[in-house]
Amino acid sequence: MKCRQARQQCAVDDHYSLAETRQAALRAHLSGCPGCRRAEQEYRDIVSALRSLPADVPRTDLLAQAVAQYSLEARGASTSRWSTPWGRTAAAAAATVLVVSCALMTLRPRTALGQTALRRVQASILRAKTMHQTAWLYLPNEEEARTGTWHDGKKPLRTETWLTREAMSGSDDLLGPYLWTAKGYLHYDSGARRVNLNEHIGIEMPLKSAIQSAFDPVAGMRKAAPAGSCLSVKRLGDAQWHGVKVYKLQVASSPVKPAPDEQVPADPEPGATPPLSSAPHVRETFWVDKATDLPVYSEFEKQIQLRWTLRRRSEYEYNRPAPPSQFDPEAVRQAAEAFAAAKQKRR
Amino acid sequence: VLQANPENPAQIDGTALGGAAHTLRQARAGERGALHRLLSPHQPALFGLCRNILGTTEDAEDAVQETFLLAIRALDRFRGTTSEIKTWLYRIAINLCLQEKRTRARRLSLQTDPCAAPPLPSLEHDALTRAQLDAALASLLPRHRAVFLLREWNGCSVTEIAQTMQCTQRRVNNDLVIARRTLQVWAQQQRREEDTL
Repeated sequence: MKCRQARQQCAVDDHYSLAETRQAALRAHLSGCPGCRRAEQEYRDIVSALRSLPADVPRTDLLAQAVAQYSLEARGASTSRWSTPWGRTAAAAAATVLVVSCALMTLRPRTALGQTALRRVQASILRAKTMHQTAWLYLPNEEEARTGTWHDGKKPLRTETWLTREAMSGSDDLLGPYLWTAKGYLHYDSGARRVNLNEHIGIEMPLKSAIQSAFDPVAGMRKAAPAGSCLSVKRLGDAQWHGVKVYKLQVASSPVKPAPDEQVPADPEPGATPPLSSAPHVRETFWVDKATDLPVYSEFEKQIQLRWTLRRRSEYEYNRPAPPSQFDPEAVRQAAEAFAAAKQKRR
Repeated sequence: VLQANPENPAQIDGTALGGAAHTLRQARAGERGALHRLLSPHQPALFGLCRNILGTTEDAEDAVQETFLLAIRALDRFRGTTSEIKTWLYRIAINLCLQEKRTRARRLSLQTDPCAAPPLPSLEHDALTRAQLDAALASLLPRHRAVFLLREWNGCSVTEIAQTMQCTQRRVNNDLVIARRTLQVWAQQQRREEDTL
């Protein structure tokens, strides 16, 4: 028996009972051929290592999660318009069309790994008590904003935000320190050259909504996406970010309706769908810590002149104790006035 | 809607009979308990299979969860017996994993961070470590990896693998031969690199 034959027979040896003569020939070959014996031993080593490794255990009960998700879907379906007799007929017709078109498109189930990952990220962020975000904004100048153009090599504007469930505070290069609490919005008024505590005048969004939006990675995208467009989520590959094992999660707007397993539900909009606006499409890629499912870094891009241009980079930290001075109105007032004075002096 | 605690005669009869077929019927009716009885025994094997194909625990969790979700959605259309559930679940999981591998390979051929690949430990230890085993499995094509794992890790017969992969037994055997040869080549290369060091 030749080596090639012997190695092929080794592979099927476990599954088919070889004829006695072949088994004897194989045994004879293995006993006389150190190369084949060694190759067989190495293969057996891999298999025994595979079987002897301690089994990984999932972090949660995956079946319970799947059942819960299906339960939610089923509940939604049972209260929908399809539960009426006419609806059922229409649903049957729609289902037939859907099945035929799905069969034409693909016979394999598609993955929804992006949606699962996004759900996990949202759940993890909900558990976070504080968030510290450092962002670098690449803003267009007046001419670029007017003409919808873009030039590279910009100097970013740095902003820093502390976020708790009750308040927001931070500072930026342009306007200095600020504090936003339930009582009001503390900021330097450049016109009056003094720090004001506004009773949320001119601020459309309530504090609570602003905090929820800031914690939720999709909320910002829903606002930034052009009207009438669809949002999709995709889980990209693994990477490392400053030594942390991460995976990338991308939320993007598009005029094309994504596959159901990649679609992110938009804000409920009763009535007709607004026409697709000519505003540029946007996408944000999150680098998500594999251990905690919390984003550690993100890049927000806009499509300008058919080119994706970076508009914001952000770094995130969670559950870091926020410095009390950030949330002390008097300390913020003093810091804002000092910032304004320094700015005035520079001029 | 799933019934958390249904009080119907069928369940009482089913409990009394204790029949697997009845569990399947109850699961189709959406009873949580029946779904757990039917699907949860397969979770460890499915998770191990997905973990070894996809390479990371997180991806495997996603894949298993999606497998269960797809299975629950499609349980009405499942026409097999309870004993065929295992093959059916494996088929869904493997399709998901292979699809994910294909999508990722297309999407990320340029984006993968070279730093992400962990340094491989040498073969000087007697037993292969998890990282070495992952590297060995990574040397296989996804399809061959799935067939190899079904055979050697899940202990499926060639007939079961052929049912799962929806192909002939001959092709399964060919895949197993190729997988074995690829793993042997990988082991030889590791040995050679070790000798040169």
